[in-house]
Order: sequence, then C-alpha cells, then structure tokens
Amino acid sequence: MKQRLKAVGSRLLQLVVLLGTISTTLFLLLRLSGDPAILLAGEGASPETINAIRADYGFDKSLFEQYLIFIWDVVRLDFGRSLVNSQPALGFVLKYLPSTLHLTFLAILFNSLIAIPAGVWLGAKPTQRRRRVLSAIVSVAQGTPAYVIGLLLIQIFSVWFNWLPSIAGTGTWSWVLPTATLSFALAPNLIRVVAASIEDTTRQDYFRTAKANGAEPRVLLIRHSLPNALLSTTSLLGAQFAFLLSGALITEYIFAWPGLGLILVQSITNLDFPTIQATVFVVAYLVFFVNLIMDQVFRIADPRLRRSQL
Amino acid sequence: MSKAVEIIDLQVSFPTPVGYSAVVRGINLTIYPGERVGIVGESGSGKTMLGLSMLGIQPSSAKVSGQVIIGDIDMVNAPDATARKLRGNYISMIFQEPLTSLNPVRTVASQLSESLRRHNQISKKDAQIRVLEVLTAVGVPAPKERMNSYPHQLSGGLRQRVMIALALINRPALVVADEPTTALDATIQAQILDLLRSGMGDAALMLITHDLAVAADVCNRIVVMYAGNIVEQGPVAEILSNPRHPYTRGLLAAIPKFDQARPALNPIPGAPPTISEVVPGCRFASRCSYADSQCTLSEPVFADNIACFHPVVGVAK
Amino acid sequence: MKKPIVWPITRREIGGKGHSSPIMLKVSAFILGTLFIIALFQPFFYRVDPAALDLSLRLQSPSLSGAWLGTDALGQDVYSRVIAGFRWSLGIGTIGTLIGGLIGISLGVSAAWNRKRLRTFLSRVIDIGISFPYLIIAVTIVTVVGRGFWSLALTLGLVSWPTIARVVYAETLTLREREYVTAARLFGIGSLRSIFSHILPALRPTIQVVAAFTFAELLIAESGLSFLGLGAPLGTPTWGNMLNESRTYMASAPWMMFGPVIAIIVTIFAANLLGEGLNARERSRSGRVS
Repeated sequence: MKQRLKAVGSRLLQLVVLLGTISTTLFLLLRLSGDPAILLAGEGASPETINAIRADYGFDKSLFEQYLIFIWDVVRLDFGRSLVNSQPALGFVLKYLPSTLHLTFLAILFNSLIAIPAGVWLGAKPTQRRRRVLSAIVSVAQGTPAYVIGLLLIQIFSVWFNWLPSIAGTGTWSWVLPTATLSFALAPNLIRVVAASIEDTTRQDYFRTAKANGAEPRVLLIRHSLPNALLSTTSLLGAQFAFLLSGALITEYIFAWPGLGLILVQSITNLDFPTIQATVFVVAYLVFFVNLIMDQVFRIADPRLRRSQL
Repeated sequence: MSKAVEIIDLQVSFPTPVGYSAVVRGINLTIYPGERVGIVGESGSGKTMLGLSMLGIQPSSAKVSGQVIIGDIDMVNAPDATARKLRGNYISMIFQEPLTSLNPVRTVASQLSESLRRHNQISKKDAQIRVLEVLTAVGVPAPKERMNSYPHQLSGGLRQRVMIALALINRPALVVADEPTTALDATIQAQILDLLRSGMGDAALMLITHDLAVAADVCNRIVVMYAGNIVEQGPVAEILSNPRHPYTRGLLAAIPKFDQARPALNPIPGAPPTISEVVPGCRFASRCSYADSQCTLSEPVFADNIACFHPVVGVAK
Repeated sequence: MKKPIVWPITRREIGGKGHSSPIMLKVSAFILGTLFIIALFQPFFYRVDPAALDLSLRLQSPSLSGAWLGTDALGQDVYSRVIAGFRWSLGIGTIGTLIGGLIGISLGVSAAWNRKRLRTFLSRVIDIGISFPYLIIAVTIVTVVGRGFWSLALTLGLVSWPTIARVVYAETLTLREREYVTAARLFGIGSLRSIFSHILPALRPTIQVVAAFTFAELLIAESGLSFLGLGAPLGTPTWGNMLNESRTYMASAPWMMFGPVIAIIVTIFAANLLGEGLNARERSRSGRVS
C-alpha cells in the first residue's frame, strides 16, 4: 500500500515538474519575443496606448515579478483572456478539447482495426511472397507524412470523385477523411510493431511447448501468440499518443476540424499569447493523463505485474 | 502395440555454409512400453535434436529423413495435420526451462485443459477433474488453489511438476524429457527425478541428459550418443559396471568421485567434431586412447549394442 | 509524424555476416547520395530559374515540351522549384540532426554515466522530453524565434534530441557494464577519457541508425511546419510551402501537388531505408548467443 502511494506521489511530482517546465519555458519564450505591449497594441499605436497596455498587463514590472505573477496565475488556472475574443483563455480552449479527443479516438480505433490484423497476418509468416509485398508497402507508407496522406485523400475522394467532404462539419461523413488520414499515418508503424511482436512470440519457449502439445497453427496464433504480442504492443501505443497528437494537429488544420490543433495554429498566427499558453498547457496535461492511464491498463493486463496472491 | 516408439534411420541435417550437415546421423532405436531409456551425450551430440524431431517440432530450417513410428503413424513422413494429433497425446515432451516454457499470461489450469480438450472429447467439468487428478499425481500441493495461478507465481520445482503434468495428462505412450532437471536446485532435482522414475504410469520415458549419473538414477536402459551416432547401449547395470565403448568409459571416469579426499578430475581430452566437420572413420577416434589406423579409415557400424572396432573388455574401475 | 522507436539492445559479439541486407543499404545510399548531389549542385538541374515569375504562363499543366511538372499560380516552374527545395530540406534535416545529435548524445551519455541522483534526474528529463508532442513544441518555438533557415534548424534540433538521448542512454548503460570498460576504469583511466576512447566508438553504429531515422523525422517535421505556414518564409521554394500553395488549386491544378509529394515521399523513404539497412547490419553483426 505504501508503495502504491509512493508511486502515485512520484507521478504527481512528475506532472508538476512537467507543467512547471512547460509554463516557464513558454513564459520565457513569449516574453523574449519582443515587447509584448507593442505587439498587443498593434501597428502604429501611440506611445500612450502602449504605455497604458503595459501598465494594464503588468509588463512594466520586472521580469522576475512578472514571472511570479505568471506562476501564481497558472496555479490558479488563470491564463488570462484571449487577445482575439476576450474570453477566458482556458475555458475557450477547453471547448475544443472534445473534438480533438473525438478525432483521436476514432483514429486509434480504425488504426487498430486495420493495423492489428495486418500485423498479425504479416508476422505469422513473414517470408511468404504475399507478405513481403505488404512489407514493402508498409515501408513506403511509413515515410509518408500525415498531411501528404490527407492531401492525397482529399484530392482523390473530394476533388476527383466527390464522394466525401473535405471540411469538418459539412455532411454526416465529414469525419471519414480526417480519421482515415490519421489512421493511415499511424498504421504502418503499428503494423510493424505487431508483426515483430508476433514473430518474436514464435521464437519463445512457450510457443514450442504449445506446438509440442499438438496445437494447430490457428490456435497457436490466436491463443498463444496474439495475447503476448498485444501485451508488448500496448505499451507502445501509450507512447505513441504524443505523436498521435502531433499528427492530429496537422490533420485538424487541413480539414478545419475544430480541435486543439486548429486552435493552436490559429492562436499562433494571431500571436494570441494567453491562448497559446492555455493550449499548450491543456495538451501537456492530456498527454500526461493518457500515459498514466496506459500505465494502469498495462499493469492490469499483464498478470506478471499484478500483485501476486500466493 | 508391443513397441512404444520405433526409430528407423533417423537423420536430421542443417544447412551450413558448406551444404547440409547432419547432427543426427542415422539413429535406430526402439523403446518399449514402460521402459525408461536414458539418452546420454555431451553438447552437440544431437540428443536434443533427436527429441525434437521425434515430435516433429524441429526448427524449420532442419531437414529430417527416416522414420519415427508411433502406433502405425510415422511422425516424420505423415502430414502435419496427422502428426499434430499425436503430439501431446501419444508422445509428449518436457523441456528444460519451465519458466519460459509455460505461457506467462495463462493460468496453469487453462494450459493443461487446452491440451486435454484438444485430444479428448470431454466436458469442461470432467476436464477440471482430470486436471486436478494429474496435478495431484505429480505432487503439486494444494492443487485446487494452485491450478489457477500463473507460472511466475510458482517455484521452479512446482513449475517443472506442472510441465510433467502437461506431458502426462493425455496418458501418452512415450514422454520425452529434455534435460528436465538441469535448471533446478539440487534438492528439487532429486524430487523431480523421483517423479520421473516412478510417476510415469504406463508411459515409457526417454530421458535426454548430459549427466550419466542422472540417467543412471532414473533409467533402466542407457543409450550413449556421440557426435550424432549411438555408440553404445545397454541395461543400466551393465553399462555402469562394464562399459565397452571407450567414450562411455571416459564418461564414467569423468564423474567426480566424492568418496576420495581430493577427487581428481578426469576429463576426456579434446572436443567433439563441429557440425560441418567431415571426419573420416570413427568420429571419436581423435580423442580415443584405443584408436588405431582402422579407426580413422572407416566408420564402425552399430552392431551388438556397440559401434566400435575395439570394444574394451573388463570391468571399469 | 513519426514514432518513438524502441531499440533492441544489441550485443556486439563478433559474429558472422548473417542475413543482413546490404541491398537496402546500397539502394538507400544510392538514392540519398543522388539527392544530396542534386542539393549541392542545384543550378545544373533546373529547367528554368525557379524564381522566375511569368504570369502569362501560370497554371499550365505538365507537358514534355514545356514545364515538365507544370507551373504554379505565379507561373513558376514546378519542377525547378522542387529541385530548389532539396537544398533547404536536406540542409535543415542534416543540421537539425547534428544539433539534436550533439545535445542528445551529451545528455544520454551523461545520464548513463553518472551516479544515481543525477542519473535519475537526467533520465526523467529525457522521458519528459520524449513524451511531449514534438510538433507543439516546434510550432511554439518557431512562433517566437521566428522563421528562417537557422532558427528552423535550431528548433528541429531542439525537438529531436530526446529520442536520440534515450537511445544513447540505454546503449551506454549496457556498454558501461562491459568488462573492458570496467577494466579500463580499474586501471585508473579517467572517466572522460574512457568515454571518448571506448564508449563513443562503440556507440557509433547505434548513433548511425538513430541519426538516419532522426533525419527522416526532421524532414517530415520541416515540411510539416512549412505546410502549416510556420516554416520557411513565404515564397521560398520548399516542398512544404509548395504543398501549402497547392491547396487552393487542388481542383484546378492538381499537378502542383505531385512534384513536392513525390520528392517528399522518396526522400523520406530513402532516409528510412538507410536507417533500416544500418539497423539490419547491426543486428546481424551482433549475433544472439545461443
């Protein structure tokens, strides 16, 4: 019990350090990018306006003082107001969270649906000719970035065939292309890992034991290879989440999907600092949280990691 | 059946840079029901490959020829679908490392009943009963609780007992045990050997080991292998008291004798030929103190339970 | 968008050549070599000056006699611009990899080499670095630091070091326990010296592999950033920019897309292939001890 508490405590500490580092880095970066008062005031503003803004936002205080205020604000989850629409930044950003989660979830789902069977098929008999072909395709696909896939898909399915909408929110099938883009971007890697895991299981001793007891190839695959292979794959999936978010960012941009990625790009283009800070913060939190959950899932799934009762 | 298994001219070869080389070079062996046969040989003698190819689970790069006849099925030449029906059923195997040889994510009971229900039409309930039965028979304490544990939760000795249970659960005609005690502590070793000696039921046992003492403890017949061939075989008492092949004598002499104050070690000088090495004549000749020119010209044929031009007569010291 | 690769820790017993794929290495080296030559000697490969605007020629479809890959909205020759993009992309990729490599190797080795406290701290830092979505960092930094070749290269270097550090860390840990290192330290050879003369050479193959993959990752990242409008300044002929520009003309001038797409796919594919070829050669050199 004590160990568990210690583990949780250390995790929380990690979270605090993570968020702290990110916030501080952001603060420094944003402050160093030039006089924020001038940026806020816009082109051709009078010196009085600039000074007013400066006083208003507290830019006239020393950097260290500003930093302390900043940290205090962050702790209270006060990111200020968006410079674009004057809404509280955090609340504004959080509205976009569900869309990103939606897209991410769909992408993971379809990615698994495609990649796991493909990986299993590939890993079961990696030397057959057919499977080599798939291997080659995967190799090429792996090098194709998400946005290229997205653009190609749009070109083919929206422009030429006009089957699917290319902008979010238009039509009931508008989720298809973004999801497909993300899934295809992630799939090659997952296929690879699954195939390697499956292949690895065939070299294990317990596989030989099952064979020695007369197990048929399909049973071998499904009851012996697959569970063990999936176990090691799951840990990778957790780590992939961060990269999933990177891809989601670009995909959201291409398809105008109203999620965190889109907000980030927009706020950067607008130099809307509070929103940028809030978005990065939310993303960091999300990644951390997901990793935490994946850890727990992994712990439950692998009997070797459970507390032994005997 | 009057024979549990009959092996006829079994050869197993592997691809090497210089073509296929045999690790098992024409073995002929018959094992009768209830017998306990010890296959004794050092690393590289081909004994493990012999065991694997009897079940048909040798590495896929290996080429196997000859016959391994169980009942009326030849495991080598029968289609895999047929051979599968015998594996775990008429012939089963126990491996050296019980921790890695059992599936870590499945319980003991599930692995046992998988094999049971594959080869027998039996209800889930009856399967449970049989699982408990066999776990008790191999000496697993508190089998009802133990059967739902995972392999990593059991001690080494217990795991090996589970492996033995797995091998026995379908009442096979022959159990092949490949170095079953090598990975265990000495005290546990003794217990497992006891089990192998008296717990096999009607099954014949083929015990593969490098340790002549272990074989002598458990078996009633000893088969000595060297570099892919059987060089001598016989009832255990005879082999121990009257070994005729120089290699067998060497093995016996090499066993440290702990009744002396300072036991001298008498290893056999030299090393066995490598897999691709082509040796004219007897493959043991280079290490044999009895060898002469005849031994390097042609290979001795296995006859009268020995393959040697100069069998040694007289009692071993 | 790439993945964090989990590396098998290889053992460098000297074994036979095994089933390595020298083909992979040769093909990828050939392709990459060609691409680098193109990058270095760009002007020779131009059909016309890539910056030459000619509004009268805008949006022409590809033809063998005229613009091989067509022209874009400003009348510029797509083919030549694709060629022009090589220098930028390959350049940033290389420099970014170098920067990331320097930071990553230093951190990785220090993390593995030092005693407990520092090691835990540094490895935590590396973990945090890895688990954060790279694009978010890159995008944020670029906003602030500004665009341009060197700032982009710096950004990419800053984004790529965690993966390199993690790999180097793991490998150094293993190497550290090797007998010859322990022997060297027993002889009183200082830490720094044994690092340079023993560890770094032994790390070389691993570093090669991870460098190849990092290069591929950075290519993707760079073009991604350009595509988002956060990379190279507008008008610079980089593939990402070109793809961005092609979006508006998807229906009317689809050829604007194809040039950059093919260039991107081929280059990244070659870089990946190089990484895999190196990896396979590594794996076959270290055998499994049976």
